[in-house]
Amino acid sequence: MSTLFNSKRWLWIIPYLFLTPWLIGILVFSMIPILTSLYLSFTNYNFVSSPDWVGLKNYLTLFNQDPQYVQAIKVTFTYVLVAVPLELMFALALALLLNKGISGLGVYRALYYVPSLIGGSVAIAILWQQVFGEHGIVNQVLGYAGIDMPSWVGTPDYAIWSIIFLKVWQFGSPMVIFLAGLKQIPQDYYEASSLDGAGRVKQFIHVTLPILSPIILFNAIMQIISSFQAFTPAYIISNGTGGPVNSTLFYTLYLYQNGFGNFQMGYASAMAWLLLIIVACFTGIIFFASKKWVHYED
Amino acid sequence: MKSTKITLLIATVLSTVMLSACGQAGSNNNATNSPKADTNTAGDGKEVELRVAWWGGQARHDKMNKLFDLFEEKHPNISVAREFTTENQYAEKINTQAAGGNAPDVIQTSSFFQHDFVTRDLMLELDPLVESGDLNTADFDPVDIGGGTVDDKLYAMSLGHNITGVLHNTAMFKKAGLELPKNNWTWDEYVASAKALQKSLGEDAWATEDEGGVYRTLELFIQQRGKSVFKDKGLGIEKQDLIDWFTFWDQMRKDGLTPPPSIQAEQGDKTQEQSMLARGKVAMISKSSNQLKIYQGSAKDELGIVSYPMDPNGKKDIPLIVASLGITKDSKHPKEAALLINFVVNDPDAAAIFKGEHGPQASKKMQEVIKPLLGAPEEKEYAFIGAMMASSKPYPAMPEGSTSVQKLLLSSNESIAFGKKSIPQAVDEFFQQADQILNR
Repeated sequence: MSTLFNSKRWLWIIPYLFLTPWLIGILVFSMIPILTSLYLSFTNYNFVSSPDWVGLKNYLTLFNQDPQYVQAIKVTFTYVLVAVPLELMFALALALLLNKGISGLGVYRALYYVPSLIGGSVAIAILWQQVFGEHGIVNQVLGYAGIDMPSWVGTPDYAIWSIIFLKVWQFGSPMVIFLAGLKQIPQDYYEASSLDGAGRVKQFIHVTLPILSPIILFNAIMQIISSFQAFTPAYIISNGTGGPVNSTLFYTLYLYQNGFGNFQMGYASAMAWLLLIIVACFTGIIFFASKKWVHYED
Repeated sequence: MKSTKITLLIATVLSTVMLSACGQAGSNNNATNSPKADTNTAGDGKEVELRVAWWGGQARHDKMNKLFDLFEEKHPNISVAREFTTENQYAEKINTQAAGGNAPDVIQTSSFFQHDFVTRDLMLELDPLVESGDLNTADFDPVDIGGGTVDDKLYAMSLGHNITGVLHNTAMFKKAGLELPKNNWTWDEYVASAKALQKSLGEDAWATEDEGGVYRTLELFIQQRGKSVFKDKGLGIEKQDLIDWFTFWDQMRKDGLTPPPSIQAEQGDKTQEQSMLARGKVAMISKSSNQLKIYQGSAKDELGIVSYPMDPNGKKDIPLIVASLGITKDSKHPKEAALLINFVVNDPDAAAIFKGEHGPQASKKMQEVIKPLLGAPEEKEYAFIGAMMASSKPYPAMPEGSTSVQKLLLSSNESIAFGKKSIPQAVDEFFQQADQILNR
């Protein structure tokens, strides 16, 4: 019996053969660049001459000698910690409203989803710059209410808010996911709890939220990760400068300025890896804490 | 029944996917604004596709398009793919494209980027092409050849030369009862004019934009002190120079002669069509002389140009800015690229369209060709250049990291304008950070 060339012996390799195209893709376009950037983060590299090993110098400079880096972290953290909760609250509120069974639900859902599709684009960012400008729509409407505001995008204290509102405007994406989650809550729970005398608020806190909690966790993590990566709005609205007095100097924008403005690629790579570590820590903390408040149905 | 539903579902999904994909692609193109597709059609014999990149506003874009349309008519086997951006994103884009091996064949450069491009090994030496006759510099003005030369080698063919001056709205001056400023006017006269202008402009317009955060004007100020902002790889100025500069502009702001900081910050670096000068919101702004005609094209009132304010006891040398076209080192079609460049700078029909876009053209012959075609703004510009040429000198080279230092200057000025930092504090931090950036 020839067992050497028995075709059944080689069956195991077939899945891997099918995976090969994807494997090659992820290796060439993801893994190799990622590992190269790790290497470059320990060097000085400006595209012209070959990378120049400097060890931990880039990382130490970032922490000890770069006030703009500290500012970039401040700005980005403010953005993440304000925009994401605001956006999720809006998304949940709208999902609850739409879940009441309004006619034309599909139309509203599509309308609210459109900003998520186009919101990250250059065109919308340019539009936003006008909307929050000195004589933009926002100031005009506020003017009717008697509130006199300066240009949002031109004032250091308000510029970041225009970008936060841009993020909140894109609530459609998490909203659709919340809607789907709300539809999965069995009505029995609501009936049972109202029989026990629970009002709407108590029902929300003790029935809706716990059952939605895995979805809240999912949305929170996705939105936090994408917020840390925000670039286009910051670049366009601040004209690439990082806003009046660095008030919109997002982490990715500062990275871009160092990498492609100054061609200090080693420095920029170090920033990129630090961002990875920061986002990983954040996600880790959230997952860890999720054991306390996320309730999985079985 | 079931198959109709499925077909409908598939049709909806497909159209949504295609619409959102188109949406993404469309919005991504907004930044580069290339009217022709960037497909590479080279490969069928003599057909050559050249890619050309330049910066500017819409008016320049239209002009360059007409120019290259004419070139394509004269050379039917060469097609010109056009890529253009605004000035403040240009160097980043070209450097990044070059790093990826994807640079255009012909690129516009200027005194500001030239040194950097050559240091990055981006540009092809043009001396061999001049010797072979593909590029003609025979009747070029020596300053133009100098403007395209780095380390004694020619890297770029000059499109024209210009000097920074103060573009001003003559109607506003007349309304304020002021005489128009004359070349070599002093700082005191500048401030006095600004104050008189502000009185007649009232609340809704200002005498000048806040230029405290603009590197190019700081450079002119510093040159009058015999120094330059950058020296070799570091700063060439002292703290007192910067304190004087910031104090001057702080006083201008306090006297109400500049727009409030939030409006100035929002204005940023917009193109000529959207500038405050063109919209009648400021009376004066400092820009290169060749831009007078571009601003005039969008402004209702008549504009004039005068020299940058001078310190009567200071040095009178003014740096000359030369804009040029060069060929990238990796271009696969250097001969055709040279043909294109030679067309732009030496062909009379091209000159008739180009009309000294970057200032008086290098070739004396072309200067004669366009003389009868020049309008009033160009005549003012040429008169200005003629008057100031004698005291001009080459533009200082900018070291690596200078882009960030320029941004630092802007944010330092803003922090003083918004009252976030005092002037001494802002200056100390500027020096600390600039040194750190330049020495990274």
